[in-house]
Amino acid sequence: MKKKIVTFTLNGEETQVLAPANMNLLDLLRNVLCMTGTKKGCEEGECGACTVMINGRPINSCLVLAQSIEGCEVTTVEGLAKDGVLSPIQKKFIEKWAFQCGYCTPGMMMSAKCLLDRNPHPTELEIREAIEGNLCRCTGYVKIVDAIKAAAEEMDWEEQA
Amino acid sequence: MNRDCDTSKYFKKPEDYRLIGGRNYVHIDAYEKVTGQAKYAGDIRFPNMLVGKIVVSPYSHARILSIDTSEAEKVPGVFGVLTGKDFGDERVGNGEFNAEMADKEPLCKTEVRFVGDDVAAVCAIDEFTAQKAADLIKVEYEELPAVYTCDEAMAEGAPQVQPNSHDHNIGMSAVHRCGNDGKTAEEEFKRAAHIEVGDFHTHRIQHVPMETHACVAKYDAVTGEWTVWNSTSMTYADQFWLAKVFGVHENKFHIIRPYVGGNFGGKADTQAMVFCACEFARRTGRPVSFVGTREEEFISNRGRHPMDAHVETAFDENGVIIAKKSLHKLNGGAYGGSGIATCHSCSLWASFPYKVDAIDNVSHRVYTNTTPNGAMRGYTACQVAFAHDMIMTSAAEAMGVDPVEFRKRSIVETGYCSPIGIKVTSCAMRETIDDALAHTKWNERKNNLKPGEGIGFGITAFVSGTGFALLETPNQMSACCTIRINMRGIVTVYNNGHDVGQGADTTSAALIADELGLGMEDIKFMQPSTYNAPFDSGAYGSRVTFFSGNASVRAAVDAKRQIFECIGAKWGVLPYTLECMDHQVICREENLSMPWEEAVYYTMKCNGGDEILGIGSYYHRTSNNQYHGKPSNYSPAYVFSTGACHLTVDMETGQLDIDDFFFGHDCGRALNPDSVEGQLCGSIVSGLGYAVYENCVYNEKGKNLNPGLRDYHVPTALDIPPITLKYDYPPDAEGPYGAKECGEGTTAPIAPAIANAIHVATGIKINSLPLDPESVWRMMREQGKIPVYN
Repeated sequence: MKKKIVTFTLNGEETQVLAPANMNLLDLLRNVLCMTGTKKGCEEGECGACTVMINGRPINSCLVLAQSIEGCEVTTVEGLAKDGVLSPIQKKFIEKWAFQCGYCTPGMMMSAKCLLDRNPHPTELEIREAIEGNLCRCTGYVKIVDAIKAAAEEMDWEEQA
Repeated sequence: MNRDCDTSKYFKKPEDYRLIGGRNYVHIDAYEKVTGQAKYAGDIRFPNMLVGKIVVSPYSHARILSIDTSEAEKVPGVFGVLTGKDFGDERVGNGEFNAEMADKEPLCKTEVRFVGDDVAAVCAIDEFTAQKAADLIKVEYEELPAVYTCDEAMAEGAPQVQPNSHDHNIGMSAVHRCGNDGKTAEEEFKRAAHIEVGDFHTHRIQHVPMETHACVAKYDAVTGEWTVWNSTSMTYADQFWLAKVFGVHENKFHIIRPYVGGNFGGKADTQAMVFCACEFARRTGRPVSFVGTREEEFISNRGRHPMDAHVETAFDENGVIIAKKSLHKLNGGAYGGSGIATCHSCSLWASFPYKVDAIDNVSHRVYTNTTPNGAMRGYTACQVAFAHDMIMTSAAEAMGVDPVEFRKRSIVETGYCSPIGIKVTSCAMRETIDDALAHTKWNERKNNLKPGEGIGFGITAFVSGTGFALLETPNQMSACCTIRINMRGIVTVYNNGHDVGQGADTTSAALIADELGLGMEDIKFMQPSTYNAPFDSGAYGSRVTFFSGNASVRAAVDAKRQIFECIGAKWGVLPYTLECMDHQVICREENLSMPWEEAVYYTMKCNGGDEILGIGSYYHRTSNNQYHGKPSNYSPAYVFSTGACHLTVDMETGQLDIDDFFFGHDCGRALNPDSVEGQLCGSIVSGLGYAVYENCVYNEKGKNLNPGLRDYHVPTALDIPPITLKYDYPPDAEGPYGAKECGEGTTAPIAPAIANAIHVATGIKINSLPLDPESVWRMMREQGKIPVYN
């Protein structure tokens, strides 16, 4: 199986890996880089548990070939906190009790981050649309939407401060 | 400290609660879960770890003629192949109390019984290699006749699904034939003013936990011991069956509970992958990991029993229920396991939530050649509630009574004892109904609804903690907790209440913190295993908050008593006049206080330097009679829920637009409103999925046609209606800090609420689920509610 050196930016740091041709980004993250924060739920792009941010967009990492992220900026859940300080999204997920089993949570937060980076003042409908591809079996989504709304407000306040 | 300590004066009084009852603490798993550091079974990595794959049967019923693994073994990077012959003759089941009904081989030896049955396993250097080798395993089958529905399986001369002869493929039956004051259903039916009869069918759905089944096994060849991490809801049951299959003592299996990504009942059966991982670990000396794919999750793992029910309910001239007769047939699939307890529950729900003074229910669990079904959120409460509630709707109309008023006439209340032994203690059933009426304004709106507009109610009850201990235990004890308090006053908790995402660990920590007057930061919850934490039967039957929570409180009170006896002696006051508040031990009467750490240190000095150990356990004082059709009180308390739905039906497409959902749930005291709200919203969406969106579709050869999330519709964030919740009802005397269950029984009212709303909107009589647009449209056509253009 042909392997290639792939250079990309991962959570702000330049990273180089040897990636097999048939490996997806999800397995690259979880098995080669041992970053298991991004979760495997279906491997067919339906559940969103594997959502990461690539060049600012929310992407199902199970559908991306590892070799194709050459030169890309990839952000995973491990990159949300900065210098040990939780991001507003993470803080609000905790405060609003927006997770239970936690398995969908990394993907949810990455979808939320992509939304808020691009649209800092989303309506509730826009929030629901942004996480439509992230399935959750525990929470019924209500508190997740509340958390994302609250994160938007907090980020707004931080910007203004 | 066990159940007999209920009257102890050491329990903290409600007016002194600091954490419980408010939004005063966070999840103890919060940091790990939001940073991606939480390790689920599939995240566990070891050097030299191998990866396993299971090979499954493509046929619903076939004899295995031969298995040729030679090509698979030759693949470079393959470290082992297993088939049925590599395991002994022990079969796997669920509970120890009916271990003789265990019927699942870890890997099938001679016969496969459903599409997806486990046939072989491979372990290799990575997933790709393992799958490549798995695909090279050649199995020769001889197809055998198969049965797929209850009726097919129960027909005269139907092929046998399981070898140990079951009459008409009936794996087991539960019968409740009894009456209060010597009444019989037969006699009561004779004097009935009205009898309503109906036949119903419900469908199969799957739990779809976001985390698929996964496990890791390591083997120590010197001690002959395994260490296993399993995505499970019952580590002790896993330990029991592993020991049985491998023919060793349970002291050889250390099962550690990782984070679990959802369960809903689907992780109650020990899967083939766990046995295979252990055997591979033993043979190779390397850690072995199995992670199920989503497809495997659908085709090989348990789901919700489809049910065919015939229900007859007898009413007096006032529309009050006087008796019920019913026959429930559950499609159990090819194996027993957790489905066995489900059969018993199925009979139990026929008695809920009404006063049924004479009952005749027979529930059969039938073997068929389909994917086995087992425990799933509600243990058939969803199916039974739907069927029996539709009868109430028809009867109300036949007798000319408002549907809600009609139900109110028969609902249970505090103090009711049913013929099957249920004793209702705390009960806010009526209040939840009234709250639903108030929110929906049913009485004002019912005569002004537009065509296609409907309001419907679902009224159900459920157990708050099944007493079933799963394994044989002293006193049927099923929940224990041990706490250690060291000389710095730090409290270490060992409680295997099986947090599968519902927040059990956090609840335990909060109860202990509040009882001891401490903050969450003083409580260290240890990752439990079958060796470090005392027995807890697991996350099923709505027992964790009630049972494991009570055990936690008792452990804290046990420790508190020891401290108070010491400090009380020092202060010359009675021990039970002390209290733990705000990191102090205080005596209000004498206005004395001592910082917590100092009190602990002093107590340890009195005890010769011994650390303080608090031991708590809880069991439900009942008997196993319920499993033999004799009256017994199933649960220490019961919960009551009313769901109310407002929707419009598109008369051309059958699509539903649910624009309001109210849910009133009597869970006693809400220990944490955030957590309760999360569970209720989750239940509503789960029930919505069951009622409308989800359906496992099979072809005529028993093959699942939609084993993936593209064609199996799990509700998304865009599918949920606006939700209003009410859960502030009086505390229960026996629940921990007054709490009862919240999260399982709460799924049951959703389908009836939606079905009743559709009935009001369209006039159609609903006898089956799901209520997807096509099904609703067909019902409207068949019942003449919409014109048919030919």
